[in-house]
Amino acid sequence: MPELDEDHMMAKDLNAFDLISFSSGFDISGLLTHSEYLNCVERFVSKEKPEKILERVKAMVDKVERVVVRKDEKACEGVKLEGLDGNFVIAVRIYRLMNELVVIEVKRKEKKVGGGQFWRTQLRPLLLELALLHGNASK
Amino acid sequence: MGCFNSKPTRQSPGQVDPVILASQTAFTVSEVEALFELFKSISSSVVDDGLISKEEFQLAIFKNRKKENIFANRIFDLFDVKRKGVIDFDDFVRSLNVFHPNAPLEDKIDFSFKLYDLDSTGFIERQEVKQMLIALLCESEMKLADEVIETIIDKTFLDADLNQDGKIDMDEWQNFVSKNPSLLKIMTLPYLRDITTSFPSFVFNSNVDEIAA
Repeated sequence: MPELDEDHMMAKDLNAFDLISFSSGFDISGLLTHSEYLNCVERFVSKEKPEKILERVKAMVDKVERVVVRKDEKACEGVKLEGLDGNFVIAVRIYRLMNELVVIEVKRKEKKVGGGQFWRTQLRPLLLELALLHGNASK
Repeated sequence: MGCFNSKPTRQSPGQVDPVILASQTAFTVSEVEALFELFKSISSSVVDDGLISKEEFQLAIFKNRKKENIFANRIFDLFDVKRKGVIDFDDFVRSLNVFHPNAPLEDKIDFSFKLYDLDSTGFIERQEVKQMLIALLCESEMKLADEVIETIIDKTFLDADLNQDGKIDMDEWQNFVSKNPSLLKIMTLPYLRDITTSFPSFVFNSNVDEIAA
């Protein structure tokens, strides 16, 4: 396997421990935070191509007022969604798992009061459409 | 608990001297004091006894004292350095220290190995990995077929289990982590670097001036 340079750091397939480390049980930052914002993560498995997933997300955001799409500097396949009212920031990142499977990771920082609406009513339903709803690996 | 030195300090009884803790960790004295405020609030959330119980730990992390999680359990067990079933302030600071951005890599690698070695045999066995992967999938929306899970574990072990004995020992883990540094991401909490400024809501009495005199 060729060595990966920095630009491709994120392009390596996820291994078993990468997946395991996704558990919320490992995120002990909850020990340190007491604020008006909630930090949440959700992940989905999908068979769609990363480009298509991100296109669908951007197309949906285009139609929503007061939400913009920004580049996610930390991920080579990801975007950041910002609520212009300061209610939330959402990072959507795609990781490759194996074959055509990908993991869509959504990290949200949203105001405890009123910050979750965009996620609940727009983004999550869209991602559920794109997600694999059963563990079927076959075409 | 309750060690003290010859300088009179305005600490509550039973608290370990912050100067000693600061000298043995990556935290400064005022950071140790900030951690003490944090510790006080967590350790009094269910029973006010100056110790963090499993329930209080779960409450702090999940905001739900009843939520059980195999991984949080492992972290709790590792924080419970003296194996008393509760975490005292000394345990708390020394364990959080491993998550400090400046903590030595070897400590993080060691901690992560112990985290995944569920039954503490000194090896991360294949069925432990499977158990953890399944636990992870149960708590999320991710759906994977059993064959996919097996393939993922096979590929991981091909990479990590160099002597192909079906388990990963510490040396193999060190090697694997050096090839996959992102695995240690969970072992660093960037907030810890600036804890006194990250959490202005913590009002605490700083004894730094008295101690430095």
